[in-house]
Amino acid sequence: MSRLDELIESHEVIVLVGNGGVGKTTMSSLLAVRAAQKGHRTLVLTVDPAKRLAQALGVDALSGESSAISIEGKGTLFAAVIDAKSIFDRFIRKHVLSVEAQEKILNNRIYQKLTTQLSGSQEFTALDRLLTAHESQQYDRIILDTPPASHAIDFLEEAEKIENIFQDAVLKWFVSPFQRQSWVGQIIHRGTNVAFKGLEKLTGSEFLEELLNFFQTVYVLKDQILKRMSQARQLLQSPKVAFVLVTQADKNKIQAAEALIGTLNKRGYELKHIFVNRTFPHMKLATTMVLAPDAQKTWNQVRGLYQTMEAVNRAHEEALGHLLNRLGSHLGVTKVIDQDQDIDDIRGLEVLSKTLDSKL
Amino acid sequence: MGASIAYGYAKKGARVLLIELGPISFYENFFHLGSMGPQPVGLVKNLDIVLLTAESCLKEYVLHYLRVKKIYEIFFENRVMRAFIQAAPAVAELSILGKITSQIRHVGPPMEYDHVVVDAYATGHFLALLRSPAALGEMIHTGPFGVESRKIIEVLLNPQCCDYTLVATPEPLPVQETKELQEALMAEFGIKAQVLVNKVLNIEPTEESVSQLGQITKVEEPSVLQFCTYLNYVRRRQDSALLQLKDLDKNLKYFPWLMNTTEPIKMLELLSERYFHE
Repeated sequence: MSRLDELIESHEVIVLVGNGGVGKTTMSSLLAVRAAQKGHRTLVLTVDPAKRLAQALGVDALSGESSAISIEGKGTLFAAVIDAKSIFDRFIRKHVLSVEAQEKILNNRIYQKLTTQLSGSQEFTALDRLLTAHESQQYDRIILDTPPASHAIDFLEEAEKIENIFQDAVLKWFVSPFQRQSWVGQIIHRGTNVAFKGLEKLTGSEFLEELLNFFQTVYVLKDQILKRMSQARQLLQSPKVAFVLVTQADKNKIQAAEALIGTLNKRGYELKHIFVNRTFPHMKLATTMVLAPDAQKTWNQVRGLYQTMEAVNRAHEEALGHLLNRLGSHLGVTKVIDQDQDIDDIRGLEVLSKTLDSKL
Repeated sequence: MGASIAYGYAKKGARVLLIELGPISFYENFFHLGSMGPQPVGLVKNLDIVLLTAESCLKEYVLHYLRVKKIYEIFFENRVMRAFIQAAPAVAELSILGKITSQIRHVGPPMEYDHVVVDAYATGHFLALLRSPAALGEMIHTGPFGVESRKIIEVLLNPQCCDYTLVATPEPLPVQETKELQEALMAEFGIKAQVLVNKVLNIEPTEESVSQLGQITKVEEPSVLQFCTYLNYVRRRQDSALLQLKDLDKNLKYFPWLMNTTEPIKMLELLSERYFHE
């Protein structure tokens, strides 16, 4: 069995990370197609707010609900995007029992902006969506396509960030500003009072009031949110989950990938596999050929272009080789050769998956 | 491309700040600059590069605004405040956009540059960045945050001082992404963004002659046919992408794939020359 298939067989969740423009969504789709072809009931989810997953799968649009994608073979494939608003709304309706309290949160102005126009809700909702899909046991395999590097880091750090926000000491300041009665507490929090005054000067009282109101409103969800984030962190750090890096054989992209690997390690997420997407198709071209004058001219041009492309790619591949040596042989590596046909629908992905078999 | 445009302005004698949005720096390794951060680093004459993160922008703004270092320390060394900054919606985006537009708005520490070039986030995250001041400006009517949000968006939407450039490579996915971003910018903000296409491969022989070569050599040299097929596919993919991009911007600017140029400054020189003289 190839390292790639081992990866698929031994992990329930596969998270793909990588820098912008390396083909992360295409590789997520490829992995999902391959998992489905192996007979797994597979879901591919994307955190990226752009519409790349639908495009890579060759469908018009995807929604927050799983859509079935028709594939060859015995397995089944589903795809979905993260719809922050509906996930958040559902979370509130599930965990807040009183309808009045539900409405209070749903009508909060910051909540409404946060789930529609402002960023910041994608990461939490993505983690919740991933957990929900995993817990549902509807899927044997879940493939998660994350946003480009810097935002992937936001995603990976989200659980910890939310845990920090919902620490008791922090929340007390947001939700019960008038309940601090002990003199010890007052001394401890004097510094925060000064900071709050500074904050009011910086932001204005209207913003601060809106924000305090928001925190007080969502306070009822504190235990559920913390529980959810703890479960998310446990899942992502468990052996059921594999992190896969997508990169290209390009010196700059390799350097950027190294920084991302460092972040993964720091956060306790183990990298299991690397996809090197769109590697140059090295061929053994003849050095000289004797042809008719017109064909000879074309041959010289084609040969020249090949030599240039090959030399550039060899240098990039050397840099990749150094990275892979540093990372060690425990890591699976799949090189995906740049194709001579479009990979922009499910059939293209199926063909691409087969090329991996012939190479492996 | 961002660095090349910045380089071109600097070469003309303007003082230029190239802003990269963090936390990870691309230019740090690309130009061998050492560790990048919120302090500008000189790349060449007249051109500085800086790596901005929300926290660094907010720190600078707070320190400048409050002026009292003690309050600043309380503000940032207090875990309640740190959590607040992390949790408060739009604070990160507003801090970054606030810094980018600070010179025009005359807010915060002075920046003495003639041009600021921002190498921004990819599609969806860039839209989210722009939506923040618009959303906050609508919601908060009084106080510095509401007022500054409206001023920031006013600067960002003023074509006299701000323009937007979308960079694509000549391939289906980037082209589609560019199309969607251009449409969204126009629909949501009325921004008309110009389009550049980078890494255009110059394939001199015609498609027909390459096909013929493949056919002539297919028995003796099958790998030549294989490469000819690949080359013609790359050409068709590129041609189709260029056609679609031309639909998005009639003045589409093309930039060659500089495969033989490995020296970063030389690369900037070649691309900027093309940008300013095409």
